[in-house]
Amino acid sequence: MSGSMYDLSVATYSQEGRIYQVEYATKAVENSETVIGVKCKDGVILGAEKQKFSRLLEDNTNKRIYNIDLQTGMAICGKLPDGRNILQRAKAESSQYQDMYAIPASAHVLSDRVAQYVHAYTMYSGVRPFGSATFIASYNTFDGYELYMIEPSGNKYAYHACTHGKGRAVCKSEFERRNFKDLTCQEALVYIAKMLILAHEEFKEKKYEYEMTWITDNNGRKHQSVPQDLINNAVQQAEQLIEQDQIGE
Amino acid sequence: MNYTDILSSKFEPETTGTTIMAVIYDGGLIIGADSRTSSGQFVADRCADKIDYVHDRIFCLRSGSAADTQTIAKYVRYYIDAHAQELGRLPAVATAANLFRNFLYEYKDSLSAAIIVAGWDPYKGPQIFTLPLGGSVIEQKWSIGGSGSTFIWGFCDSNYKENMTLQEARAFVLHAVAHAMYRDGSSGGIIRLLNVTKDKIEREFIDYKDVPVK
Repeated sequence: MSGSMYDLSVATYSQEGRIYQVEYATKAVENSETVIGVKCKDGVILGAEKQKFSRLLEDNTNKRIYNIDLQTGMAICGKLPDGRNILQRAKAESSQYQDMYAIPASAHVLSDRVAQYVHAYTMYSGVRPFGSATFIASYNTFDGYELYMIEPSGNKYAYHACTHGKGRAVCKSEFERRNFKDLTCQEALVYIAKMLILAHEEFKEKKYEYEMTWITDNNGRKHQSVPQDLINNAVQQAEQLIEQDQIGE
Repeated sequence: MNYTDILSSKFEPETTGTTIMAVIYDGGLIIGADSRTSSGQFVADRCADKIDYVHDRIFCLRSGSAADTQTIAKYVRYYIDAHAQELGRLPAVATAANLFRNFLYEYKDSLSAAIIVAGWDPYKGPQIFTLPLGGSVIEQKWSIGGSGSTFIWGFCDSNYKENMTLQEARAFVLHAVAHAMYRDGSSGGIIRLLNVTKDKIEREFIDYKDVPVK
């Protein structure tokens, strides 16, 4: 797809009514490491794969999933520095909202603020759109568990399962097959791991780390990292499941 | 009257030297207020409504400078409206109290305003927040305010009970406000009552002839 003269500035529409710069930003997200968000029966899980591109990297650091507040988490898919800028904004919005209104910001309000911020960067020729999609998972007593994804265009939707990045096609087909609404978060961990492993099938020789966080009825409804031993178990079981599937074929 | 009169000490700002009260009972809360707005010794409004609407189930009782409290209430009403629209459901009473508090605290040197925020929300039920002059916030089961309140502390302390019925709470507020109006020169007129519950708001107007203490 060539943009010819209409892709030089985000302030220019193409003749078909497309904004190529936003689409190119989305491309940046599509070519990056996979991130998944899933709502289960008793909570929400966020999962991200991290390729260890150098043996010099410290394990279990260099996160892609962060806390916005106690009960809200954000996962970044795409360019990490861009995503971290969005994260800082989300943290500020959440903190100021709580300061003013004496209640924590619900996910639908917070994601709206983040979406407006991301969208603002698609309106002016002096800035470039963010090259990251952000996932917001949260719990509050009135709205329950919520999951949103905000794309570089500023589009924001509420999901019960969403994914972006290189392995999104694989993950989406797994979403179709598995009814996560019937699984508890504990049960769903295996399938999250499975999706993240399948997402990078072609690069099996590389080393990967899996980052998972959750907000569930069982962990006090706070956004926290899934304990490392649970992640390791899930990865092991997932690898067995994949082998069995392959043997079955 | 020209501007020199306003600037001179002869001009006294309009105040709600007042009696205001709110009490939580089993199932909701009762708000009561007198109706006198005084400008010095002159009664500027003898039938004022000191119970201000903030949101569908949130009200504020104003004491101190009428100008200050009316303006603050107007801002808070606007902020709460915008907030409730975004939130998509009833705002928390604590939210309204916080918005009032921000004004009273940040502008404490310029304002003369003390407010009682009372209402019902689906998260914590009936709540009362007292916001005195400096901008602090305290949550209470019952609260009295205004110049007339000084005369009824004893009455209220001995007659308040937890988990009163609607009738008991109404009688408590009615008699307390009436006693305050009886002894406080800056309070008087008629009594306005408001019953706030989950399902409805009921306003009551007690005419002078029906005020129990006079």
